[in-house]
Amino acid sequence: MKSAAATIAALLSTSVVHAEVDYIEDVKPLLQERCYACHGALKQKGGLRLDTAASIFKGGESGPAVERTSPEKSLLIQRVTSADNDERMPPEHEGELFNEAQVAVLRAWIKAGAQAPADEKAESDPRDHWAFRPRTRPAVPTAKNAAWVRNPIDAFIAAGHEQHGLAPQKEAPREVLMRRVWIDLTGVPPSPEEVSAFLATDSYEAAVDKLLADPRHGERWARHWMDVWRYSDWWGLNEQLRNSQKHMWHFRDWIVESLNANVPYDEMLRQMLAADELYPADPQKLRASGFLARNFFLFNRNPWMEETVEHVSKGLLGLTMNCAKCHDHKYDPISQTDFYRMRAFFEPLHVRLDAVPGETDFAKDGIPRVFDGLLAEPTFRYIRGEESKPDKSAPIAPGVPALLELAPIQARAVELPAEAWQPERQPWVMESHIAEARKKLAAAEAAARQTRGALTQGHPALTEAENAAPIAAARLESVIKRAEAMRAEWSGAADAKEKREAAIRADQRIAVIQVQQQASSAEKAAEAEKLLTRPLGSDADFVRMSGAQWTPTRFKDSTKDDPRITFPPTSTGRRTALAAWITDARNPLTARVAVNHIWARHMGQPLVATMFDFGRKGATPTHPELLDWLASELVESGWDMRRIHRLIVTSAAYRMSSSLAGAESSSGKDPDNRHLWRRLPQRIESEVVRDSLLALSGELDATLGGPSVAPSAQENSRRRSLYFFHSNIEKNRFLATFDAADVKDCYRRDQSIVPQQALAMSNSALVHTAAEKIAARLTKSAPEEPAFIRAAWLQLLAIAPGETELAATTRSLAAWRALPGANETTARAQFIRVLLNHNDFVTLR
Amino acid sequence: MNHLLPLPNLSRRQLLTRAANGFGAMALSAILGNQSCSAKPLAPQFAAKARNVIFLFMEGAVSQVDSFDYKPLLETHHGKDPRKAIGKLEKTQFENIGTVMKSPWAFSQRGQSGLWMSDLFPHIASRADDLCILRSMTSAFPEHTSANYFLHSGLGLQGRPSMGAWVSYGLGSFNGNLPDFVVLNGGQIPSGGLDCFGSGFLPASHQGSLLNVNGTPLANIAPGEKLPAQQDAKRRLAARLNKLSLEASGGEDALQSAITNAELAARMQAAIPELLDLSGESEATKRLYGMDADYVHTRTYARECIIARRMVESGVRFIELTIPMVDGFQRWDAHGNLKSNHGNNARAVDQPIAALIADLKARGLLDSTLVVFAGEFGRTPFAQGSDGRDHNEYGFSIWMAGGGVKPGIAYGATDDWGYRAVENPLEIHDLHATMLHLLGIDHTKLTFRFGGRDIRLTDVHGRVIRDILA
Repeated sequence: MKSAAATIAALLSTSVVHAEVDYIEDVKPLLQERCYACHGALKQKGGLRLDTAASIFKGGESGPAVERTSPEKSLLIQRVTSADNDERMPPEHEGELFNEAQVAVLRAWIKAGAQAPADEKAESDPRDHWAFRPRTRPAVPTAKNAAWVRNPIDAFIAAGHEQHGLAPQKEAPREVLMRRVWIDLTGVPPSPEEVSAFLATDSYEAAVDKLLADPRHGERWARHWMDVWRYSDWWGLNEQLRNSQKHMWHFRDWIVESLNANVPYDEMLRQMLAADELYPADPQKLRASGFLARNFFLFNRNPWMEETVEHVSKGLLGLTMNCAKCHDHKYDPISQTDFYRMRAFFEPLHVRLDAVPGETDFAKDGIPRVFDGLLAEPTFRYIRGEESKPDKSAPIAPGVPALLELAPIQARAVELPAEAWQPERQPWVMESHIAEARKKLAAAEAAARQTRGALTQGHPALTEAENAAPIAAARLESVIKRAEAMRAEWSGAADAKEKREAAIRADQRIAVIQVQQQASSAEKAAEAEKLLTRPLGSDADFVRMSGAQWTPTRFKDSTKDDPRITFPPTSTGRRTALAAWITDARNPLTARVAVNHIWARHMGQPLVATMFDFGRKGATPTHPELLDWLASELVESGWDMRRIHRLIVTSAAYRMSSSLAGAESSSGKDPDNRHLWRRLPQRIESEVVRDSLLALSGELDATLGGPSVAPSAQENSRRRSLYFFHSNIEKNRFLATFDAADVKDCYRRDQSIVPQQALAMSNSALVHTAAEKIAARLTKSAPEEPAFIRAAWLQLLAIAPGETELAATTRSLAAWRALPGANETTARAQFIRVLLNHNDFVTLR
Repeated sequence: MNHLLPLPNLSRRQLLTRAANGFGAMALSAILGNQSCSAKPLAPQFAAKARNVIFLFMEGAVSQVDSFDYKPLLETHHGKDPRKAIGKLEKTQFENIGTVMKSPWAFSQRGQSGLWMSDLFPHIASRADDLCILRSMTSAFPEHTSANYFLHSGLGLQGRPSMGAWVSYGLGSFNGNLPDFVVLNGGQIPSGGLDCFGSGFLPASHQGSLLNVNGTPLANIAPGEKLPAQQDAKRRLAARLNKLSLEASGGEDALQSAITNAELAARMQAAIPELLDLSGESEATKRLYGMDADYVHTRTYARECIIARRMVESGVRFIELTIPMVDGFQRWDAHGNLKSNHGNNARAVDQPIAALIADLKARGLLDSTLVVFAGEFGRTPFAQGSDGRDHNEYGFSIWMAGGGVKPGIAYGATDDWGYRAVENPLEIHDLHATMLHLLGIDHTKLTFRFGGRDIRLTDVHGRVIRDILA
């Protein structure tokens, strides 16, 4: 990391020409930004490299790039200032031109003799970039500070301490540690009982095991992965769905349940990318493909595909493939074609809702999932990324960047079971329809009975009610007959034809009854009956019950749905192949990226700061060996995330105090805490703020899963915040104030500090109501004032109050009791509101 | 931004955390340690003409041929088939193309400048000599949501910072008690929602703060405690306890920021009601704006305009006004009933806007305040159905006043039908570039690094419209 002064200088200056131009300070950064992508380690266009002064003098096919002391004779100057479009560098569409000040820098440097240090190193080979190299399991170092080391994590951290002369802060006070680990692992503070138990008897490790097995752990960590995997409920314009899918909560529930079942990370990724090919008839696992269905965009396939490529790459692999949409990647060995190769894995995608047991209305429920709907859809490279300019000369096959390829990618088509492409065959589909028809019949009969008791014969409302029952009965009969006919069709039964006819007749029966009920005479009624014996035409058919509903696209015309996509009996197998590559133990990126995500959320600071970019432009790891050790641990344990959680939270590094007190020496040497000599305090996430308020009030609803809580129901809801409907448009106001997840891109939560937060904590109804309930709850267990005060500090802030705090709060309580209209209850509630406005309430120390 | 000048012995984290505090300061905490998203803010590059912007957003799209772009041919060809009269037509949103339709409002030349304007906006027309009308604006989107995002953020998709957020980020504040970017909500939240005013990838403190001019102005702005003494006691004790923690923590910067932030919130809690309290305005001023008008929507917009002026006086950088709910959710979107739709909308905004210009001028503020009047696109010169006009992004009129633009001129032109921009066609990016220029910012220099790119409001486009600079 640069020094503060250098950072500020870089922040404030855009083009400064010093009196004396320095190669390293002034020239090299310029060339790096504008030239290295084509004339460096990544590429050597025209045989030219510009990444060292030596290679600049050596030049390329056109000769040396610089003539010492003569800017005018130097090719470098000629090319960057040329008026000729074909001559000028950087070429058109390849980057901004050098401005006058920048050219002046180059000239000045050349004129002064083009001095450069002799020991200059060339850009390293992209293949040698740390994140692209195969991962090996590093040996655990032996730390001098052995007493501090609790597990191998600490040994790596201690090595850094020793190297930089840093001393780790002591372990945090027990109450601080308690709140830290509870919120970290479950997203809520401990209950009063848990506090007593933990502080009195429980061991820390035992508490950790209990918390990891707690279903709230799945909820807490699901929210983290929902950030990374871009969870979003649907949004559009008014009622029109344009983005994501209805009932996306199934995907959220799948995450919660998978984490609680400790499903291995690699298996989770496989299900997210290819459940429809790997488990085509398993609705539980199919929920995982909501990860891809979420990218649906009604009007245009390109943003849908581009977002998929971008975020599969960033979130799962730490690759910025999106930078290669219009041109080759400027920093990483990813060609523009690679971008489209990656897209080709997803090109056949379409989205549908699969019926769930007990529901026949897709508006009410259904599992959003993807399927390969366009098996032969070609992928073309867009020239300069412009969708109006596809290069139709060469369709692009699915594939991965050559540097990262482990074995040739081979997609093998998957034969799907009938239930997958004829989803009506899932046993519950018929049952749901029959049950629904039965329910309607029962309701119609009950309504008729009731109306009969209330109204006299001949009353129109009674006639209507009495007419409804026979129709409902006929509808039930029709559903049963249709189900039989469909089953006979599938099995090719000998009586399939008869069953089909019976189904058609059952449908006709409904119409006949309707006509007869309206008929003015007995003759007309009898006439209607004849329909049932009239011979059936060859095109007569019945309406089949459906087990899935395709989500229509409007790519061709924004005012009407595209032609329906049918469900093919095969899938291309492309995404299975992609998932196999991503989850291959040899993939250098996947496990590293995963442990970095996990580490960052436990520790508040990642090992690789650019969580979505492990490429050459990204940050270097602060602890490369630790990263690789954790990644190896993840892979070799069978991608057991719970094991990683446990390792991290039981480490000494995790347990350190966040205080700066007495740490002047370390703070002076490493003010940014790169080497983890203390823990960084964290602003808790918006969900934790709200959930904690409810938990402390004793009001948090412990129900797991289910449909998202609608915006209109959120104010009075006591459900955990992760269940709130959350889309690009609909965001809970309170949560948004504290940096709720950006559904478009949230690899790290923001931690802003804005006055609206202070206003919300000071004035919102949520906080006020919670404070009263918290005060009442604490008073119940600790009626005496000193005990109440201590319990409040401990429960809300994990602080054992000192004499100063106690004195201040006792005095204030006395003063507030004396206010007009006040009493003990109001004074205590106000005191709780003060503690909720204490910064420690929204901070994880 | 002066408070960001190099401070010795501060770590990057400390610097950023300290800078994170409050409005106007650059809240960079969001990008702590994240090199792929580093900020590159900058100070004004040259003398600014304008210090403040008032953006009058005419959502739904005002018809240019009924307001600021006089086309006599529409009268002579009224009722004729536009395919014959005008020639090949672009696809419209509804494809329900009627006949060429003359304006229901009469046009005449106004003021010393002789600018042609219709009777749709009689009050604004009386300020013709203050206006700089751009008659050749174009948009890239024919549909409200995308066009609204485009007008606000330079991209037709959700998620980019709004121009007010860019200005806040680029220039910072000269008022420590108020946000830099305020959206005065008259009732109509635009298609595309609050993302029209979002900060996108810029730090959250730059997002537009939505203040309702009727009802509760801002969420949680009303004191939570019943008695002022209680509210004050709560705040003081919390501050005191926080300071104790600050000492115990060894001087944690985030905690210092939180303390400052709570103080700012308290000041804001006092400042906002004060700003919205118009009791100190003279009766003459209120009447000038139309606070006594019969029409309720005129009164609402009058309130918005007075508050906007007060905000300029208080140093808010960028103030955007949304329109009242004049015609249900129809906004200016006159797909039918042009006469009543545009008539009612104009009735709501006309007098308050004219008063705003006059009042700013009288107070010597117009020169340093850029007023911009714009919709997201224009409307067709031919009818949709019998009496509406469909969307038209190929040529429409917006105007600016004050803030360093030439007064009493019209720039650019559409064809003889008011259909397509033909003379000096302008893009939304040019509007943005020019607005930033007037604020003293080179639009190519105001960048934020996000997703591996230096991103600007004008993307890779935008030309300053030099011909209209005073």
